[in-house]
Amino acid sequence: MNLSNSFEFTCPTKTNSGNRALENIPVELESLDARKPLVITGTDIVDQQLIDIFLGAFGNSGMTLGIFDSIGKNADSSMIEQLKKAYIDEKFDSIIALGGGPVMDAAKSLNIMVSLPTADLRNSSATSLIQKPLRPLVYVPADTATGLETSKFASINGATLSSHYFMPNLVIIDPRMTRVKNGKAVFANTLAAFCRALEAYTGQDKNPLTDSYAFAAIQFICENFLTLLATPGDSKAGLAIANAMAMSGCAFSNVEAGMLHRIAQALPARINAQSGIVMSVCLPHVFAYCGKKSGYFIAEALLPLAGHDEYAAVPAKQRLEKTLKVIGQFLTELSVKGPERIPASLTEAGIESSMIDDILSNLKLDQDTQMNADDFRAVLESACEGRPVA
Amino acid sequence: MSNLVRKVNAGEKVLKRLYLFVFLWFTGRAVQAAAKVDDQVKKEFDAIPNGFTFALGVMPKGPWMVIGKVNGKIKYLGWSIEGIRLNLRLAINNIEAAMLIFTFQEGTALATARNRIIVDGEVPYAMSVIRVLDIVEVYLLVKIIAKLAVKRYPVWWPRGRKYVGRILIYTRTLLGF
Repeated sequence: MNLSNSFEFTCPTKTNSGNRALENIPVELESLDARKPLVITGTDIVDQQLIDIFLGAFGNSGMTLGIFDSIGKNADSSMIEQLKKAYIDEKFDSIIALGGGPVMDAAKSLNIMVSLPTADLRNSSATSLIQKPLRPLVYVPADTATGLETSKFASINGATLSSHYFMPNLVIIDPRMTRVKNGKAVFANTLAAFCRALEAYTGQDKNPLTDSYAFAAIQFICENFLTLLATPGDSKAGLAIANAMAMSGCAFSNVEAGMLHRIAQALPARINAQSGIVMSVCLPHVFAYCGKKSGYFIAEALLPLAGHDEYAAVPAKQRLEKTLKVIGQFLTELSVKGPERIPASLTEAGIESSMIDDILSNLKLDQDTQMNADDFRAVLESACEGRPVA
Repeated sequence: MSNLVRKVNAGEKVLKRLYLFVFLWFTGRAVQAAAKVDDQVKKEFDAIPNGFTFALGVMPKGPWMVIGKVNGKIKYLGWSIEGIRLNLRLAINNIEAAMLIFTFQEGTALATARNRIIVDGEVPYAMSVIRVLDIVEVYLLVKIIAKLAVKRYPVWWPRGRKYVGRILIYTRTLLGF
């Protein structure tokens, strides 16, 4: 283990996972000095039946909850303004995000607005920094989780804000909520979380603590993803995947964003491909490319991917090759058994090589990033053509 | 409340609360009875100082089983912790966790490992109370159920201890002395 570089790790999130975990929310809220939560969700995102199960968990707590269940596919800033007014007028003291993606983005946005009264979302930029703890934020994942909910990032008005204060205080993972209903979304989102965890585990700035989170996330996905695809109702596999996604967000928040994540974020808006699918198409190409560069730990990924026995059986010099092979086999198996096929190239996914310049300009590369435009171009070209990286 | 946000009051789980109330009331009286009948329970309580009070119950609104050592004797002090100075509190996180434990779907040790029980007070006394509760459960429940509730069922107990003790504890519990 390389400890020659100094490192920093922040994860303020407490995780409460398992059977009947939802029922712990009232007690956990009390420990955060909160007694009147505002619940944010969307009936398009979370089934009404799940909302009822969630509300049932507050039985006998004596609490009064506010419920807003109209979050759409994107968090709208005027709606957040209205929610801010309701939050302040009704003296709510905490926020619970029920469901993933836009729900959590809306919850994070609202949390800035109510915690920092002078904040104006319309004027927020990607460089805004929040230097003060926000109000208690609880996240309850459903099958729509993207894995970024537990991260330090919030997508507001199309911009991405970053602060460790965005990370939720508490994550409640209950198997009743994580049963898979939308197989395609779960497939793409889990692939994205898998790629982010792999990048956190193999990146240049990884540290022993990001390793722990990323290792567990990769292992949980390798062991449970295929089971979940075969039997979407499997609550144990659903719980494991939800845990893996939450952990991947924590690991990802403590390393510099890797090539896969950056490519997915830089896709032109007109492209209708899901980021998880694009990331998994690029994964073998990015890892083959990074494996040739010094400072990356691609070969180390064999341990969480294949297990201790296989890792020990492969000589150190062959581990990179073996890692790429294991990743290729895993993606092929997922492609065959998943609800949709993983394309063999970016072109097949709808991203032509003519779009590479657009992607590169969206990447906003600066001198601090570990990879330059030539590196991204080499990977994108090979991924577009589906040929091994040069 | 604005039209945007709907207000919901958390419901009541009346039947579950009633079950827990009866269970804790009966167990509390059984602990009081066992302190007079069983030598091991007596020994555990001998190590506890006079005036010591402990409660086992459900957060946030109860019910609780409050037991104290008053003038050297173990007494069941009721279901409410209002106005009582507790030396030890074994609080179950929520009513559903309490149902899992008190319907014997989860043993005390497993529930503790799963973070369903919070201990406020000194751990050695908490261990004594857990041991006492295990013994009382063996007396009160038939073997097939008691095996689910306790960590290790005491197959080494002489039959006389179990059956005579059971009769005495049930009699004292029902009659309240």
